[in-house]
Amino acid sequence: MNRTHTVLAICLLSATMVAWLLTSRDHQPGAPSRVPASTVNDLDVQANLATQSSSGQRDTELPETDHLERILGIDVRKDRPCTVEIRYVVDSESSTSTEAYVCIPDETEEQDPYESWDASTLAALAYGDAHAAAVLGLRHVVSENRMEEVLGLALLYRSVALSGDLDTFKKAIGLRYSVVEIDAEPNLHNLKQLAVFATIASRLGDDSLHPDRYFERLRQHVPDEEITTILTGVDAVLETMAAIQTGATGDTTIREALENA
Amino acid sequence: MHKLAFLMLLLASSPAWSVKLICADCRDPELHPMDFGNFAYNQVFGSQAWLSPSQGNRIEVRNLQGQWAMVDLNFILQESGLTINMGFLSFSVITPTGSIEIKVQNASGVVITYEVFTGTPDLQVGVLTNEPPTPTTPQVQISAEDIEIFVSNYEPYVAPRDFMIYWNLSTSE
Repeated sequence: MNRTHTVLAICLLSATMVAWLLTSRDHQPGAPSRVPASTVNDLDVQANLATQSSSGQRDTELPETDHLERILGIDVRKDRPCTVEIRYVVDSESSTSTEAYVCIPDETEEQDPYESWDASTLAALAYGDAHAAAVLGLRHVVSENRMEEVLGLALLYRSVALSGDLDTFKKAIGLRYSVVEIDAEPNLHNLKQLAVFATIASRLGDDSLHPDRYFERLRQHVPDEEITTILTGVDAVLETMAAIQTGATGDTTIREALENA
Repeated sequence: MHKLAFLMLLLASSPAWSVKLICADCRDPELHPMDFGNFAYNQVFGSQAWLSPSQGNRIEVRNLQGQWAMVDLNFILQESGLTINMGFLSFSVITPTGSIEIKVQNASGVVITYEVFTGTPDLQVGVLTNEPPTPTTPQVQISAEDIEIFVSNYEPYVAPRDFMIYWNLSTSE
């Protein structure tokens, strides 16, 4: 038994040493480290993360343990907007079935009638209808054709100018611009667009998109001149948005925000 | 003794427990691995989130064809300047960078890793249900005349001058 304990102790010591050597070799001081989401409760970073994220949004509230309950064998949020169920999926290759979870929404989302309208109908409305401009703009921004994408952005800026609803930017981010790095390569296109969206939102009084974090990342990869170009472009877009708002609705909120900045 | 060693090896090599989820909108994981990563992100951090971050480090997502991918969601933390090293034990001050790394591995073992900032709204999964935009312009060699023609198709809700601002802004790479 003593021999077993000795061997076990040697194994554990060796494993610890190997783990330490591997981590110390891979991890450079100051470099970002990846921490599994499961350990976040132990790291006391919840508060910081929530503070850095959009204020008041449900998606940024990281639940504490007492906000969870056990349903069908897994821990789920008590405030979930859906019903947890177990379903079976059949693997087409092996013909075996696998048990997996789904969460069925409690409320079925109502179909937006605008979604079923074609581009020409939406375009006819987009001059003064913020929602039509947003729906058409979101269709265009996902295009791989740069010109289509730019047109989509123009429509999104128009939509926000007309409605003041910055959620339109957030939808575009979720659809196309969320990824800032892929396989350790920065996605500069997305970072720049995120910086533009966040700066416009910030200038209009909503800091929830945190422009600083995008510029901070951009500065690691692009010269200062490009940052200046982006900021100059944002000024021009805001000027145009102010003109659109005043021209179409008579409202001067954006103009006032720019003048007070 | 051999049994004990074998048990240790088995425990060390067995995969961590994962939550298995069904994603109806996820496409082929070989071609669209981000569908699976985005879906997992939405279940933990999206507007309709129902899982806690404690399940985020190993999620097995299956589509309706039975194809699957494993997803890990990791918070990216920044080690700040203060590091105390005591032999092989080191202590550092770590702070969140405000971003999440999404790692997707498909059945072939191909791994894609990408990063999004926390607070990002719901991520796109599958094809858009909206009508796809009609291509009206060539993919390459876009001239000023092309832009003018293109923009004129969309008058009056996007003035050409406005369009040029957006165009210049987005092509400032």
